Order: sequence, then C-alpha cells, then structure tokens
Amino acid sequence: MFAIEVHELTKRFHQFIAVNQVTFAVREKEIFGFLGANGAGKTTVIRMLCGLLTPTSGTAKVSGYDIQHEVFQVKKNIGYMSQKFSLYEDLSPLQNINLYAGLYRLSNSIRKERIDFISHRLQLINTNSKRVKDLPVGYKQRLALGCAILHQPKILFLDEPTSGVDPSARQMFWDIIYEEANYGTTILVTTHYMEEAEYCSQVSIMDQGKIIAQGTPKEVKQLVHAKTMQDAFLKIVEKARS
Amino acid sequence: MRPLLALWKKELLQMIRDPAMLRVLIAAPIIQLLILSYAINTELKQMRVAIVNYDQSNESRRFIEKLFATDYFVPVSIYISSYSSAIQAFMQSEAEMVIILPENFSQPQNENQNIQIIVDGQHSNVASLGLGYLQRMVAQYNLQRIEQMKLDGKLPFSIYQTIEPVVRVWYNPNLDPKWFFVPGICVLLITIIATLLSGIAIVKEREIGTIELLLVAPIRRWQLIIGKIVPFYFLSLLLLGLAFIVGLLWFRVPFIGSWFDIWLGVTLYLFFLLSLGLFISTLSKTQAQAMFLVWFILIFSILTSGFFFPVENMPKWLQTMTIVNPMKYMMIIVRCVMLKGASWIELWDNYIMLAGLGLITAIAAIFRYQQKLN
Repeated sequence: MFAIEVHELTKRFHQFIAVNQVTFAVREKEIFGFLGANGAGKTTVIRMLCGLLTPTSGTAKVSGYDIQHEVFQVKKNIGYMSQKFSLYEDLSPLQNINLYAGLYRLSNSIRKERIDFISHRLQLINTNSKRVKDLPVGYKQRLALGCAILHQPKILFLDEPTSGVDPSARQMFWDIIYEEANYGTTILVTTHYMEEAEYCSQVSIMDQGKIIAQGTPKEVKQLVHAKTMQDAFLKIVEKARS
Repeated sequence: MRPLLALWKKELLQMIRDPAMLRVLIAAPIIQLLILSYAINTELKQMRVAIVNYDQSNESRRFIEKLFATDYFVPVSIYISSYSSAIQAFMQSEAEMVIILPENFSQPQNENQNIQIIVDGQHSNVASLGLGYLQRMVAQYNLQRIEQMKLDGKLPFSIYQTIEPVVRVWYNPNLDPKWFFVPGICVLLITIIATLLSGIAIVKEREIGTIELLLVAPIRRWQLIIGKIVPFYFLSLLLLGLAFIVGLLWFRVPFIGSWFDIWLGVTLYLFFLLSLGLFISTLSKTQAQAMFLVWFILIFSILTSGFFFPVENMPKWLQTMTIVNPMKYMMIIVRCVMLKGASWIELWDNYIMLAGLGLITAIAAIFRYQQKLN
C-alpha cells in the first residue's frame, strides 16, 4: 500500500520548468528522503503534494486522495513543516499550538494530551510566557515540528526541518522523526545534509527538476560505487548533468 | 466552527499582544475627531480689518462701531490714518480686509464718494463669507439711514413697509459646522480603519509567511475569510462607538434618530469596506503596496463623498461617478439619522446602494482571491 503516489508531476512557472515529469511512490510508514541542491525542485514537489500549488500536468495521490480534486481530504491527513518558518512570532508557543489544535479540530481532551506529549518530547516547557520571536532558532524549529505533528497526521511533510539547527539538536530531530514513523506515520523529508540521508529508508535525488536516482541509501551508493552519500550525490549529479 | 473560533482567538490575541497598535487604534479616532473637527471650520470669525476713516464724523464712527460689535470682524489697529499704511498692513497679511471711508461718508455728493473695500482673495471662502457679512451690514445701515431720513421728513414712506424674511434654520439652528463635520468624520474614521486593516490582513500573512500555515490546514476558503473579517468588523464597530461618544459628549452633536438605523448602515458599509480591503489584498504583493492602493482609493472617495462639498454642487459628470461611491451613501445615512432623525424607511435607497456595492465588491474579491491562489 502506498501513502503517496506521484505520476509524471510537472510544474512550470512561465518558461521555467521547476518540476519535470517526476514519478515516485512512498510506502506507508516509510521515511522517504528527498535530496538535492537548493533550487532542485524539492520544495515545489512538496508544495504541490500539500495542495499549496496546482500542478501544470501529471497526477498525484496523497493518502489515497487526488491532490487536485480532493485537496480538503488531503489536508486533513497531512502535517507540513515548511522550510520558511511560518508560525506567529507575536504569539506565545502555546497560543500557536492552540491555533493548530483549533484548525485541525482537536477535541479538548486530545488537545491537552497532545500538548503534554509534545512539550515534553520536544522540551518546549517553561517558555509560554515568551513570544516566539524572542526564542532561539533551534527552539523555533522544534516548535514548528511539534505543531506539524500535533494532530497525528498520517503523512508528514518536512521541508528542510534541520536547517539552522545545531548538530546535537539535529540528532533529537531525527529521533523524533523515527518515533513518528514507528507510530505509523509516513514521512517525506527533504534535506541537503547528505549524511542525514542515511536515516531514510528510501531516498530520491533531484536535480534541475528531475529525479535522477532512486532507491535505498545503500542502493544509491552502489550505483556509483561511492562510500559516502555525499560522494554518491556529487557523482550522480555530475553524471546526470553531462 | 472550531477552526473559526481558533482563528478569531488568534486575531484577538494578536490585537491584544500589540499594545502599541491597540493604543493607536483607540487613540486615533478620538484625537482625529478632536483635531479635525476644530480644523475644518467653514464659518467666519474675527476677520482682521484695517479701516481708514477720512470722514471722522459721528456717522462714520457709528458705522465702525457697528462693524466691530459683531464677532466677524476685528480691527487691526484703531488708528490707521492713511491709505498707504492700511495697504502696508494688508500686504504684510496683518489685515485681510481694508475698508476706506471717504471724506463725505455721511453726506455723499456723488457716486465716486463710495466706501471702498479691498479683500484678500487667497482664501476665497473666507473672502466671500466676509464680503457677505459686510454687505449685509451695509444694507442694514442703509435702511436705518433711510428710516432716519423719513423721520426727518425727507422721505414720504416707511421702509418697514418692505418685505423682511423671517429665517428659521432646521436641523442645525445655530449653523454650527461641527454638526455637519462630526458625523462625517465618524464615517471617515471607520473607512480608513476598516479598509487598512483588511487591506493589509492577507498581504501581511503572506509577507511574513504565516499564510502557509493557514493554507495547508483543512479549513475552507470562506472560513479563512470569515476568520479574518469578523474580528475586524467588531473592532471597527467598537472604534466607531468611541468616536460617537466623543461626538455626542464633547461636541454636543445631537442624536435624534435610532441606533438601529446607524448600526444597519454601518454594518452594510463595513461589509463593503472589508470586501474592498480583501480585494486590495489580492492585488498587492507587499503591505506597502496595499497601503498605497488604499490611500489612492480613499482620497478619491473622500473628495466625492460630500464630506467637504455637497455632491449636488459638483459638475454633472462627476456627480454621475459618485453613484459608485459607497461613502456618499454612508455620509447621508449618518448625517440624516443623527441630525434629522430619519429612519431607514426614508433612506432605503441609500441602504440598498450600500448593500449592492458591498455584494459586488465581495464577489469580485472572492473571485480574485480564488484566481490568485491557483
């Protein structure tokens, strides 16, 4: 059973083709990594899958729902952490979380339970008197992740969740991502830290709007006889561009 | 309903969390009302007059006394002896009017011995008002003189046999311009506040990126719009209430009609304004752009709303254009309900126009909004 099925998805902005006939599928409970340089088209794919952008052509299903004709159902089943921080900086962390809880229609008892869980797991305690803008970057990222998983989505989209986070906090992030996958959440995550690709069960390398390699991290490395993911990535991109 | 409540709570928290903004929003209507009401003053008071009296008879002194007995004119200096020094005062803007009484003021021999008046026409409104008062005074003075001549047996009939109108002013017996401007300023205030708030609402979220959070959530477009607009509606209503309190208690403007009629009009008007704001929001990429558009539209609608000048005095083509200016209808409603005690039954066409223009704008905004997001 696939959580995400993408078939020849294309997005064109005027003359520029941001995503070019991308096809892939993500199995349920999988951690699927999207690798690529900035501007490769990863974010555009995610934004289409979340219903924020309409594809120029091609189709995609998220949790069994068509992203163009059943957007509302898609939105109910996903959590999204955008690359650009998008919480309300003038509100406190708890006020932001409560907004999410309301938008995703959580009942009061579930809301309390989830807030408890998230604040402990993400160490978000004792900061509710402050506004989000007065908090350090790492904390903001944790809060954004907490909001994205608050309603226990079936599918979680994380767009560069670890950018700007220090290495120790990055480890905590991946621990949580693993935990969520263990609970049964399917995760699609983009990153440009190649070593993070090792955490994924499947990876897909994008360059200039196209998917140029796909498989488990091991398979991708073997493809070009590389030892590290970093090495494999550079070789694959070089080969694709020549 | 839960998502809507969450959105309203968020808007409320954002308003409260920004005390500086809150203070501005509450203080602005009061300060603007106080200052604007005093600044916009069309009545004439204490025009500075330089008088050169070549006559020096009792007759001419009585005329001058009569002139300065009113509040309309004040002397620049009592002792101006020559024409040239009066002109000098006039040129240095010390005097706004020069009156020259000829030598034979009391016993004119021919037409050339008339009283001469020079008036500063830069402020055409002040000048024509001043001249009007002066002419009325001269006419009165003439009548008294003729009556005197009659008493002296020089004239055969009484001037009191002529017609004298008895004037009664309705709706504003003292012709206090504040009664005219205070309701207008109230309309002006909510126009500015509501259009600005809703004009930057969506753009602001887009600019700081928080719109993503809302767009990716499972809420309908209309919920997003209602979530924005309802808090602004209540805030505008609250601020209008404050302005009314100042208008009624401080300026003592009467309120003869019913609050329901005002509320009904304001609600229709706010429906238009908030839709207009959303429409502007879809046309702009940045908050600055939205602000610019708001001001551009506002200035045009203020000038053609009848706030300063009656619409009936405008050229025909401009009058035709004001048909699509909702502010015009709101001005009429607020003024007529407050001062005349009119009700929506007499003013129904204004209410219909407000509702119609609001509906058209709302449809346009929703249409643009959908287009924009795709």
